[in-house]
Amino acid sequence: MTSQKRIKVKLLLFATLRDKYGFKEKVIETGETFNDLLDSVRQEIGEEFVNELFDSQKNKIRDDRIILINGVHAKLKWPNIQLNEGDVIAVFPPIAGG
Amino acid sequence: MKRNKYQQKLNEGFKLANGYMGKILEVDLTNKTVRDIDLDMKLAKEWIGGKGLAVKMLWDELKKLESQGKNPKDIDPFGPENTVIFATGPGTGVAGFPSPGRYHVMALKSPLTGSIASGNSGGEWGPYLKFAGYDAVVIRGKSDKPVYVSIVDGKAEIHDASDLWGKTVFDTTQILKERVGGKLTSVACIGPAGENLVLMAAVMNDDHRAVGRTGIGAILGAKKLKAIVVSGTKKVEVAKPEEYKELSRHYIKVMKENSVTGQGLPAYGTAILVNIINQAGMLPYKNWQYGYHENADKISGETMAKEYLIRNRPCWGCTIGCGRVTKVEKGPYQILYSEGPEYESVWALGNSTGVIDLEAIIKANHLCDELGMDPISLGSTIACAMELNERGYIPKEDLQGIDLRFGNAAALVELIWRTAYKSGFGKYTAMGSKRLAEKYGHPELSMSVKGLEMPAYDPRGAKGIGLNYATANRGGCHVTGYTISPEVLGVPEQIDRFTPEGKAKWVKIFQDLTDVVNSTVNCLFTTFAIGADDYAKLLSAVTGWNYTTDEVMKIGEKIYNLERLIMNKYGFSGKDDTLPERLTKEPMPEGPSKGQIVELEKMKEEYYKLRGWVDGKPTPEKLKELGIEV
Repeated sequence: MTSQKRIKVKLLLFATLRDKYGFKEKVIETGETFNDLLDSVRQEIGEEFVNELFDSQKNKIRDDRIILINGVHAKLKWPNIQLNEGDVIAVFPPIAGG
Repeated sequence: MKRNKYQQKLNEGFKLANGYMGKILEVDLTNKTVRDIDLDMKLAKEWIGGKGLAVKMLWDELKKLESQGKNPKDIDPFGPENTVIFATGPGTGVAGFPSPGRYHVMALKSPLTGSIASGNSGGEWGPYLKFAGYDAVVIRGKSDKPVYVSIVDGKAEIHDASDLWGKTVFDTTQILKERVGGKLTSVACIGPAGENLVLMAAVMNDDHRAVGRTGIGAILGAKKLKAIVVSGTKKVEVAKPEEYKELSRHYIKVMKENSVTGQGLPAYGTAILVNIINQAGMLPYKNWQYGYHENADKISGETMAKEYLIRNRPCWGCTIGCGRVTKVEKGPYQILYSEGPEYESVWALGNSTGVIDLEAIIKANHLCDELGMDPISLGSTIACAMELNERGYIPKEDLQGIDLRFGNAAALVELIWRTAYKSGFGKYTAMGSKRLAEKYGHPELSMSVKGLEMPAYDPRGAKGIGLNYATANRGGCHVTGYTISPEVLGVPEQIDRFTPEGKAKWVKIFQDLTDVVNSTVNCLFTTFAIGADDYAKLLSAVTGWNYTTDEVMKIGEKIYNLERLIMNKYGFSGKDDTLPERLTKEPMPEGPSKGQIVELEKMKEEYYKLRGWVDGKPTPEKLKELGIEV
């Protein structure tokens, strides 16, 4: 579902994603839903990045990505994700430590 | 096979083929004697090895002391009766095991916490002890003068170490490697911090690897045991070679293909966690006053890999290889070769002290290795001191010229070496944060549990790790039950980090599994890719004993309970399974975890029920179920 209202969110990349896509941080103009975000990143960054966030076969956020929206795990909110002006979306590949 | 017949066969040259070497070295420092004792295979099967074996042996020591009229509460951590055990397991030094380079060290009592002392390290020392012919080394008594022990191909000796006393970890290691000789030689030693009885002194091996936590370095310092050098050419054999080879191939593939163990950890090391924990608003900043700040990326694993990393340095035989070799080319913190820093060191020495300067952190971490100290406890203690000072609780004359403010990198670096030598204000930081904060009248500013400083995750952002900190037997420890894995990293699945509901079962499972891994002894990072049933299969193929998943987890639970029983004898109980009030009563002031506190009591109640404990003590029914005789 897409919306009419336009907002700006900050997209942050970490670890191997930084080298893969060539940036750490990008402001994205988008709508209020997760689908809006996918459309926007498709245009700004490319189809490959959409696949970074979304598993189209399972029709949900990728299991093997950590996506935090203002620190909250997006997969726990899925599919009821509402984006707001100034939201910070941090994307990590699988990482760990101790 | 009966013990005497089995030992007789070993003496006749019969080779053990079950992951063990069959021998324990007993060192009596008071009388300056060494002797071999055979490893009781019944015990080995029941407790696996490593931590399990060490806990069981320490329990037996404690019972013996009690039967001689000694009250466990009166055991002096610096006294001759504080036995120390260095232990390997059937998975240590076995080529092809997922991460076989580790060993576990325990002592009856930690000088920092007054609870059981426990630590774990990587590098080469553990495997080389087995190649030298031994599964474990038990150290009793106390020497009247500095000594070191050499163990070379089945022969052990005690040597005078008066020429080494006072030397740094790096110098001691180099001298002893050359003196003892041999290609496969490894040195575990203490530095000046251990000699000076600094309460967070570490045992270091292979220069930069640390048995960091609970001050075991100070225990060896009190015993005047400078080092244990191991060297050998023996091979560790397995019971079912063909089956083991298949399993090994399979698990190496699993580890390599796993995104964490095969890509993330090797590429970025553990400091890759800085950014995600910060983004979750739970990276403790300025002595846990905050959980987020904007410049965390400057000290992240990404920045380290880009600007300071030379290469990886894996522990012996490890499939993952996450260790860092780093250098700082120029400037006041120039270091041309160092190892680390790990995530915990970056956080404790940097984020917690407000020193957002990776070069200063690398230097501070290097000094911790050189002088032999736990960077987690030391960094946290310095952060505590900074807050005490900024709030005006430390008289100026005590500081003796150190400008102890958050963010002061020069003060951080100076205080590292002052602590090792108990010089100036360093004699106070050498006590650890609990005693330091008590001295200045504000114990609430020590961010510790049971006297052990908590590591790099604010539990207001992940409630399960809070329950784990409170109930971890050795004190404020994260690796005991690393629920950060499901709460933040989504492994094995993503759970809601903010809820206290359902966290008790995760904490218990992780704590029990950790004790299986620490008894095998392998690296805990393997559990990002493999679990209890995988360990059961590997252990079965190596030892020839057919462990099921339930059996190994039961052993893990048994080890955890026995360790807890030892603590109960020292007077620890439910009142000590707690957290600082900053975490349970002060909501996180800002950032992505804003407003959160840790609802500890609720989780604790559920946890005790699952554990079969009352007031932090295993019930008689639970002990009977586990087959533990009190």
